[in-house]
Amino acid sequence: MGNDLFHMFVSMPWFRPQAYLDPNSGSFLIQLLIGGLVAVGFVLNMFKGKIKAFFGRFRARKEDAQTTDDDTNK
Amino acid sequence: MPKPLMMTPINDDSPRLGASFRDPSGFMFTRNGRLYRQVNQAYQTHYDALMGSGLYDRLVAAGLLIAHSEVAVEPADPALAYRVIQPERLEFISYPYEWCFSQLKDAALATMTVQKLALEAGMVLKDASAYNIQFQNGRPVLIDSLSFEIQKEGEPWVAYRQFCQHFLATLVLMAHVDVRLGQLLRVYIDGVPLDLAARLLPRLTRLDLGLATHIHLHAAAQKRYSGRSVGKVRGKAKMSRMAFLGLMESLENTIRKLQWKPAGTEWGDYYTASASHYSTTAFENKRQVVGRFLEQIKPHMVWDLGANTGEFSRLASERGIPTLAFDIDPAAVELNYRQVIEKKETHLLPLLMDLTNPSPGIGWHNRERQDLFSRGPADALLALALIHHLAIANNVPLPQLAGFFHDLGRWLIIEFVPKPDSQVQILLASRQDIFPDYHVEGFEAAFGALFTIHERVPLSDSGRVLYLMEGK
Repeated sequence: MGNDLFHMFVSMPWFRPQAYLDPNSGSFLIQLLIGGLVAVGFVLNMFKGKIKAFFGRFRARKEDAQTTDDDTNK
Repeated sequence: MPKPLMMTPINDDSPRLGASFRDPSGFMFTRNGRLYRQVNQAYQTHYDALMGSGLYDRLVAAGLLIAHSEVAVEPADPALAYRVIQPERLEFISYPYEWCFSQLKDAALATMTVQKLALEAGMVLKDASAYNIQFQNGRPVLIDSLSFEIQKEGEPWVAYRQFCQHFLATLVLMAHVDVRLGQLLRVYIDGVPLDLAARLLPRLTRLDLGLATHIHLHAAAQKRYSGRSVGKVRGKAKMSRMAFLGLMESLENTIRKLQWKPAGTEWGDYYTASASHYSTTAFENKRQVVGRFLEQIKPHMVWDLGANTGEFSRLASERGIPTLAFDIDPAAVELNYRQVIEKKETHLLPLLMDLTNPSPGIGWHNRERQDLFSRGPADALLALALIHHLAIANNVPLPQLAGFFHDLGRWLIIEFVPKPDSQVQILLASRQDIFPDYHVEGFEAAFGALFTIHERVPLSDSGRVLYLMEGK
């Protein structure tokens, strides 16, 4: 709630008299597109470690199972 | 006595700096020779957030933001003022068109690091001008303490265009087309227009995802939406935090991938190939004499003009003297800067400068960025193996050369290179010798008119002479 109020406050136009740069319409809009494109990669990159660890565990389990099967068949 | 900085007066006591007028958050002014920054009330919330969030401390500790102290000094414009701060003093203000490739790249990466730390603190850079970065103790540092604002959730980066024009477009052109295109920043004070960059770049750069998006697509979008308002879209479209962080990561990766390797440097092998015009004895003798002169005059600051890769500049900087190493060759400046980084040198700043056409005053009123002379004079100048390039290759008469050095510094350590020298002979090989006064006597007469010649030392094994002079 407090957080929402804070964001409402900082979103008011009078809060940003110092935003003096013209962001340029094209530059402004293209960020939405590029941002959308790169967000997927960014999230994947962020979770790369976890994804690797997950598949690593999965592979390890499979190898363990394989070893157990081999042992059983002996 | 340093010359006053280019300023627009508010009142006689506290002139405002010529470059400090765009941002209503505050401005720089001087009083009694000291430099201050007024923080305006309009910026109060953001300034308090910067200081209170711990961001300021983190950035200063990381050497990424210039430190400042809040001072009880009468503001220059009391009606608007919230605080007056005094930033740490910089030895010299340099400009992006005076930097080599790696300096501009490091400045861009420093800006991205500042941005990342700001985002962690809930703030964002509201501008990303290359002029907001300076080199302090050898490393890039943000000098505009008012560049931050509290981040508005969902809003794209307001400084994205500026970052791409000031840093990315220039670096891409330097890396993919020609390193000399860094000089475009001297013409385009708000960075290289993206449509120009896109047109100059090889088509193959469209296959690089980072360049395809941040330069080519970006330029096309600017053209497509030129003059159109984004008011409605701005209200509705939101940029998720992941998209924002992804954009920053993509920009940083694109910059990191850019490389430029110095090759075919004009002077880069000057010292190693010195056997042809310097014997080891003459070279060592020159080092020893220059070192002795420096010990004698103990300058506060040295400008080495025509420094090549900084061999002799280091005689000053290694004595703890802040030293600028100017050279015309981007490769020499690049090699010099790489040494500075490798050896973690803190007193040496290599800079690109064509002495036959030194940096002029540019921007609004020609006062936004200062010309070279306004940033001087230096306490001492080194002009070693330089004079023949200016007098013979550039036809500057000796009395005018003396005037040039006289305006630029107090002490002058200068080497006279006579006509029979192999390096002068190379310059004269393809042209007529129209320099009847170019000899030791002519040199001493011209320089003696403006300088007191304290010492003249003929270099052993060479016809060259080293002089220690002081401006009259």
